[in-house]
Formats: sequence, structure tokens, C-alpha cells
Amino acid sequence: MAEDLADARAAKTPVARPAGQAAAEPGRQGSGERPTPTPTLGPGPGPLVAVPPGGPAAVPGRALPLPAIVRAIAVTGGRAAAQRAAPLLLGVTVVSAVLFGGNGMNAADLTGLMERAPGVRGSLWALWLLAQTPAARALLNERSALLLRALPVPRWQHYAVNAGLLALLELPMTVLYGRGAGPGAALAATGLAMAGHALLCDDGERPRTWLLGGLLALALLAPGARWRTAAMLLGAGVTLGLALPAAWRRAAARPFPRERQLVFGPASLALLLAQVALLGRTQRPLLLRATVFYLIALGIADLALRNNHIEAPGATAALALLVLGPFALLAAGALAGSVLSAERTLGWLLLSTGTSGGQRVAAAHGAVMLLTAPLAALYGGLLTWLLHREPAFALRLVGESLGCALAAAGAVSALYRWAQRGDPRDGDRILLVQLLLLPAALLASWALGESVLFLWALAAALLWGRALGLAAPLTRYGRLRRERARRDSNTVDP
Amino acid sequence: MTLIAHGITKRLGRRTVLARLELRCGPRELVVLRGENGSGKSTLLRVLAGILDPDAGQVTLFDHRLDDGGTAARRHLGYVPDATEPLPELLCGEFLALVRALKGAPPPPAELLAQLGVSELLGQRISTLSFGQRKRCCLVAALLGDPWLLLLDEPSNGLDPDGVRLIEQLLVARAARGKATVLSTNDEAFASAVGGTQYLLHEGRLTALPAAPAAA
Repeated sequence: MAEDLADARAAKTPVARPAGQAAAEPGRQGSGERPTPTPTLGPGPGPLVAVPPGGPAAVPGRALPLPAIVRAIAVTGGRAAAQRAAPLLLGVTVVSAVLFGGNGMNAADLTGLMERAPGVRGSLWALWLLAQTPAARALLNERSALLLRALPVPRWQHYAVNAGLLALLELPMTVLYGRGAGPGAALAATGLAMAGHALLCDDGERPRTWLLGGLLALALLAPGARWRTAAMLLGAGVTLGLALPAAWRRAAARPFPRERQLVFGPASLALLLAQVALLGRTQRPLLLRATVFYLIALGIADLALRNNHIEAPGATAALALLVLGPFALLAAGALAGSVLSAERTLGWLLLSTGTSGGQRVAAAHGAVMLLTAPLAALYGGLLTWLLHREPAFALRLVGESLGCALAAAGAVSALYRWAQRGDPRDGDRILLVQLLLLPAALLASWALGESVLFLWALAAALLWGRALGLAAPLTRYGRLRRERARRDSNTVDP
Repeated sequence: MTLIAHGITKRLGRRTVLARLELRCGPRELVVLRGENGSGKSTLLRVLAGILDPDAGQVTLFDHRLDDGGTAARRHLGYVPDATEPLPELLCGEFLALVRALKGAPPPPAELLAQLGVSELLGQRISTLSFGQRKRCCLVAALLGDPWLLLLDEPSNGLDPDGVRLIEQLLVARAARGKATVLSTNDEAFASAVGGTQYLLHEGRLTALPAAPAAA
């Protein structure tokens, strides 16, 4: 292939585009570039901003109303930042509930400690700035928000809205200082955090970055609470005024990040890893929701076991499985939906390379199982720890939780493959699966106790077999019937 | 070593897109499908790639049927769809690794990647690539394993002039090595440059067009 080109090429070698340069290439027929998706606002399907006939230029000099640009930035950069910030904010909430709940510390204790010990103050601030930087970067660097720069909006409005959203990301610091040291300290802390993040996002001119960073550090470590607050306000104002516009401007020219390649190995493994990579990159909220489902199950199981004074190992394990079953199904169902939809997008490749139904099923269902397995192990391990049981029981509970979650993932993936066909009735069928499966899981666990695992395994094996037929029908009649069903529902398969 | 499509009929809804269509493509042959939008060029290529099953007729490649869901014939073909839609959040390198694994093919030569301008894109997500770059990425994927038959749907669409010239040279060189290509295009200049046997697809049937001058 390469030799063909080397031999046959008389013309000059086309120059490879540098990484990050993804500008529109003028096609020979002038119709190649896929348009950047236009963000939409609110629940309605309408456009972002009402554009007059002839485009925005048709109304010269007329700026967009501020609420429109606030909403536009909020649904692009704001949404991206919220997705990044959610796990950290959840973690902060949990830690705060532990630290400040009941008869524990209060905010003034912590701010007082930070006041007395500059080392603690510096460490906590460094931790916060580093932990929240990905969310701040997502806010300022979101690609879909770049489109908004072409709108007739004064730059100060962009800066102001981004600063406002950045301030929301610093809310934990605001609340901590507000409750612990008063409104002035809260304002200074918010400004300092915003300035720090703006500086971290503007990784441009080195001397100025270091200079402003040093200024912020000096302000944070200044002696005397009153002087420090004033220094923090001053340093934050100067830094924010310089770094935020610079970071905003630089975002448009930022090269695309290089990521680690996760796909390798033989066909089934490569397909499975591709599914896992896609889930990890595009469906973080789903992964977070799955984690929350397992945590809720953990809380319910812990409460139920304690309140009912259940001590016997068999009864404990049975109740743990009874609670876990429905939540494992819900968590796996959401992931399975996403995995199967990705598999459908790749249909043309899988069909043209002759990928077997077994490989498809192993990859898609395996990805769901792989992602739920750690959560199930965590469920079993944490429940044993909360109940103060012996390590041998931990092994039993972790093993049974894993078995339950894996079987649930296998079964629900197979059922979703039947339910999710890419037509408008998908939602009805998925609802039907959930309505039947959840009570069935509860009933079976209640009736069979720990033995329900055998039922789960049997159901998963039987449904897996059915999924093979659905993934790649063996007969031409079956393939044509599936193709027609998709076409009739106005969806494009290949 | 021939691709034979015999009596292919394909209906999409109530419309018969391909009507008892006959097509043969042997070694060193380059078949160019022309036709107005919606005439069924892409459908024909999908049938030839084994993605769509014909309602009647059969497609064989190296005496293996393509329309029975088997894998033997598919090992010898590479397909580039028109709407180049690999999963957008995969890295370009991951997409190539996935296709390589599915085809059981060796890694693409570094020289090929460089010549098609894909070396620099391996670490980038497909969603961040331009249409032309995605097309190049898909072309490398189709060339993995050096397949005997290459099926290209509107290959010049969205490519810059250098990219189009590169594909022209690639196709001519493949033909010289005894490989076959079936492509669809409405780009007159491209069709003239690649030469080959040109057919007009109209009302589900193929009609041979006058021979185009060979590539310079």
C-alpha cells in the first residue's frame, strides 16, 4: 500500500496537518465539513438565539441580550464544567457531612486552624486549586462554546459570565469562609480561588504566570487576618483581570489534548476496550449514577441489617443480595443502553468486517460487566466493614455481590438488546423490561435467599444465548427483517 | 478472483433501488459508479460490502458468498462509507487498532500513515478531526490488511486537492498490482482522473458509459 503510493506519486506529498488544527478543509465539491453542533437552550428545540433573516449581520450594531448569552455559556461551558465538577462536589459534600455533621467540627474550627497554621492553609488551598482545575478548564475551553464568540456580544459580557460560572465552581470555599470567617473573608477566598484557577487555565506566558502566582501565594500567606483579606482581594482582582481574559482568548487556539490509547489486542478484547473507552469518555454521568445506585443500595442494606438486628451470616448475605439486585439491574441497564447504541453506530464496520454475534455480545455485555464489577466488590467490602464482620465473611459477601452484579449485568444487557432496536418504541420496551425485571428480582431474592444467585446465573446464560441470535441473525430472512424494522422506523443502520 | 453481483434486487420501503443488477469486477479493474443523488450508489456499495443483504440475487467474492453473513469473503474487502461516522469519541489510533483487530490485519505501515497525513492524528479524538481528516482515517482503516477489493463511497468528497490526487494515485497503483476497486462518485474530474470502467446507475440498473481517459 505504502509502496504503491511511494511509487506512483508524482505530485508533492500532502502535508499532514499539525495536531490540533482542525479547521474546515475546502472540499473539492465544497461540502465536506460537518457543522459544529449548535447548542440549544432549555427544553425547547428552538435555536440558541433568534437570528434575523440574513443572519446576525442583518442587524448591525445590535448586541444580544445578556440573559441569552448567559444561558448560552451556561449550557455549553457551564454544562461541561458541571460534569467535571460533580464528582468532586459530591466528595466534598460527603466529607463535609462527616466532618461538620452532628457534634463534629464547625466551619470556624477549620478556618481557625487554617488561620493559625500557614502550612495547613497553603496545603488545603493547593489541594482545592488542583482538584477543581479540570472543571475550570472545561468551563473556559469547551469547544462548543467557541461558536458563541462569533455572535455580536461584547467581550466583557463573555468575561463576566465566565467569571460568574467560575465563582459557582468555588462555592465550597465561599461557604467554608463565609460560615467560618465572615462575608469579607468569603469574598476574598472566592476571588482568590477564581484567580488561581484562571491562572492555571492560562498556561501561556511563563514569567507573567509565575509573577501573578507568586503574588497570590504572598497574599495567601500574609500575616494578620485583616491584612491577608485585603491582600487576597487585591491580588485576586489584579490576577483575575489579567488571567481570565488571557485564558479565554487562549482557549480558542488551544491544541486538542493527546490521550492515551486504550484499544488493543484481539477482536473481542479491542471491541470491549473501545466500548469501555467510549463509556469512560462520554458517559461519565451514567458511571456516576451507577456508583450512586450502589451507594444507595449500601446505605439501605446497612440500615436494614442494623435495624432488624440481623447477625446470622446466611440471613445477612441474603438481605444484602435482596437489596443489591434491583440497584444492580438499574445501574447495568443505563450502561447497557449506551453500549448498545455505540454498537449500532459501528454497525457498518462490524458488518463489513464480518464480526460475529458472539464477539459483539462478548464485547458489549463484557463492558457493562467490567464496569459494574468494581462497584459490586466495593458494595460487598464496604458492607462488611460497616457491619464489623470478620474477613472470611467479607470474602463471601464480596463474591456473592460480584456474582449478583455480573449476572444482573449480563441479563439486563441481553434484555436491552431485545428492547433497544433503534426505533421509537424503544422507551416502551425498556420500561417494560424494568417493570418486569425489578419486581421479579425482588421476589426471587426474597423467596430463594442466597440461592437466587443460581437463578441469576441461569437467566443470564439463557438470555446471553438469545442475545447472540439478536446480535447477528443467522438467516437472510432474519437479517432482512431487522434491517426493515430499522428502516421503517426511519433510522439509518449502516 | 472476481467480484460477481448477480441479479441483485434491493427494495428500500416501496421503492426498488436495485433491480436485477449485474456487476463483475476482476483483477486490475476499477469500476466507477455514477448516478444522480438517491440513485442507489451507496446502497449498491453496502450490498457489495455485505452490510445490506439483497432481497434477491447474490454477491460472491473469490467464490465465497457475501450475502450469507459469512466472513470468508469479507477478509478480502475494505470499505469506506460516505458518511464517515466512526465513533467520534474514539481516538484515531484506537479506531485503527479496532479495525485492525476486527480484520486480523497487521499494523498499518508508518509510511502509509505519513503519506495519508494520519500519523499526526493518531492521538486525537475523531470528533476533533475535520471531515477530510476523518475520511483519511477511514481510508487507512479500509486499507488495513491490503484487501483485494476496495469499496469507496464518494472518496473525493470533502478532501483537499492533495488528498484527492493521493487517492487517484493510490487507486491507479492498486490496479497495477492486480487489485480491484469499486467506487461511487459524482466528481467529473476525479472520475476522469482515475479512469476505469464507468457505469451509470439509473432506475436500479447499470449502463456502461463511454470509456474515460486513463489517469495521467
